[in-house]
Amino acid sequence: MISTRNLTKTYPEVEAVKSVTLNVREGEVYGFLGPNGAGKSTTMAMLLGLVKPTSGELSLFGTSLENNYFAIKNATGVVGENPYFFDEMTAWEFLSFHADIFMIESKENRINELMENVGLRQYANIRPSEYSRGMRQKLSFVRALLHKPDLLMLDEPVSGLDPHGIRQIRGLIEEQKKSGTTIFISSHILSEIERTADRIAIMHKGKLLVEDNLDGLRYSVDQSVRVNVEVANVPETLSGVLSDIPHIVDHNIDGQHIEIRLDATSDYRAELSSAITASGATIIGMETRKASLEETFMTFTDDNVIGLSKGEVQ
Amino acid sequence: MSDTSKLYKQIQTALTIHRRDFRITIFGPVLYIVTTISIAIGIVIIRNYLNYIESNGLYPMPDLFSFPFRWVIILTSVYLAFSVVVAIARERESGAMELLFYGPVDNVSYVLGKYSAQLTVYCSLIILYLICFFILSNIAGVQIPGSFYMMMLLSLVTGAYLISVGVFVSTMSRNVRSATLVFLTLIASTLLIQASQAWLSNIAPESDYYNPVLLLQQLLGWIQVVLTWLSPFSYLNYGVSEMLRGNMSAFLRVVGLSFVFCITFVFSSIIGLKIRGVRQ
Repeated sequence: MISTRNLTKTYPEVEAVKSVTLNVREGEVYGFLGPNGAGKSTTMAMLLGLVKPTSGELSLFGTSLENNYFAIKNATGVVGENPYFFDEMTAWEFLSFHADIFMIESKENRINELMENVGLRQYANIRPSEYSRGMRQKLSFVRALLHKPDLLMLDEPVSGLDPHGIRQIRGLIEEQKKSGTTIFISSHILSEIERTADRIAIMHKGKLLVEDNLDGLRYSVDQSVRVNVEVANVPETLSGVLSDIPHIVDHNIDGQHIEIRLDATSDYRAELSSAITASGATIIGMETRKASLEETFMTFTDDNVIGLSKGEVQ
Repeated sequence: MSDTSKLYKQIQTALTIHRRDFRITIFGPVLYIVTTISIAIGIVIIRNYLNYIESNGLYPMPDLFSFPFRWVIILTSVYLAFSVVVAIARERESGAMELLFYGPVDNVSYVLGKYSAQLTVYCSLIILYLICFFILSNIAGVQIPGSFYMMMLLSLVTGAYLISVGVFVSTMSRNVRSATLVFLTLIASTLLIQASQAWLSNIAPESDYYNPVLLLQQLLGWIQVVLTWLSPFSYLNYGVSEMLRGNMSAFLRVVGLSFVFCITFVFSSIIGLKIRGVRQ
């Protein structure tokens, strides 16, 4: 659906995007992550044809913007980070104008249907400047969905929203995902990407470090399984017992809580449980914990991880 | 996926932008203030002529309506060009231009939409002014000469030229402030140089040797030569003069050159916007 090869953007002072190669598959939700200044917005602007790449290739729907500008734009819906509106127009007039731009037939029905879906129907004749941030973001979504796009590009769609607003926008994204729309989301809010994205790309300092599903990302930064064990009657010898178990990579005892990193090659929890019980401790609880996207993201974007920032993972 | 009817889509998009901008301009109060001031200036000048005729029994000029109409054109076209400068620069600054380019809007449809909207407003105003001048001629009991209709043609290309300059300046500018500054500097310096040159040419130099007045006269004379080829106001003045002299070939040459410049600036705006991009 979206494909770039060695996409590069250089400004006089800085190389904003360095040879980015990414692929977004049809029907998937693609999370595009990166810290501030990573080059996400510039990459997105290039994909939208707003910024001309210095070098490299990009294609949307298997074709280039130069050759099929109108066809691509007619099949793409965009929600920008800052919802822009025209001061002189009410929400309905704003949507009507955009429906005309997209040459939508029976625009009234489409606008009313979408406004109803997001709960803005009764506010249709109010200017967006009088809307709350959440309402404006929902209106931006309605504008982006007017022409039933096959590709939805979202830049920080839940930024600045309250939990209720985030939930509504998440609902809209999930609805679009169910209908088969390909969704490209650029965001700082990692929990949202973790919930919705099928695959994730992480950018850092203009480079695409990695592109994979969440499990793949976790595995590439940490090949161990984390197990949290809660115990009673902790004997002094427990630390030594755990150190003797060959499949334990690392452990940390904090009072009654033990955090253990196990070799991920097999499930060693039964062996672990037996060893702890044999030491005289009583197991109260045990849970396996996967690294969160935030932890994975921090590992990837940490400057100390020199190998990763040089792009060796990719 | 293919663009089978690119031109059709560009035209449709330009028409949508045109309708929106036309509506914004005609519903803005400033347009009516400028129109009223323009007509008022026209009335004052014609009234002065009539007083002169009453006192002396002579026409001060071969055509009673051309000079006041020239001022009406200058005021209206400068205002419309300035409003398009602000409109485009503001859209870029606020991000609204980027919003439009998320959809099927390209540099061609955007520039043509903006430009044609202002031009339509200008043409509508020219018709309004024509009606006003007809009423004035009836009140004054002086028939509008045939040359006045020729001037209508000249006024259309002059306005179109000036608005195209406005579109060009704004598509190339970073924000409202710089666009406004560049446009107003261009207009003010053009008018100022023309006025200064006319004023200085009336001062006789006291010496043939080193003389600041002579130097200034020469310098402004050279600039005036350049302006004669570039300034829409020069084309207007020159066109009116040739029309009143009855030199139709020179008049048509002025109309043609204004039209060529107008097309050049619109085309440059399209290319400029593509190079400059939609972001601030």
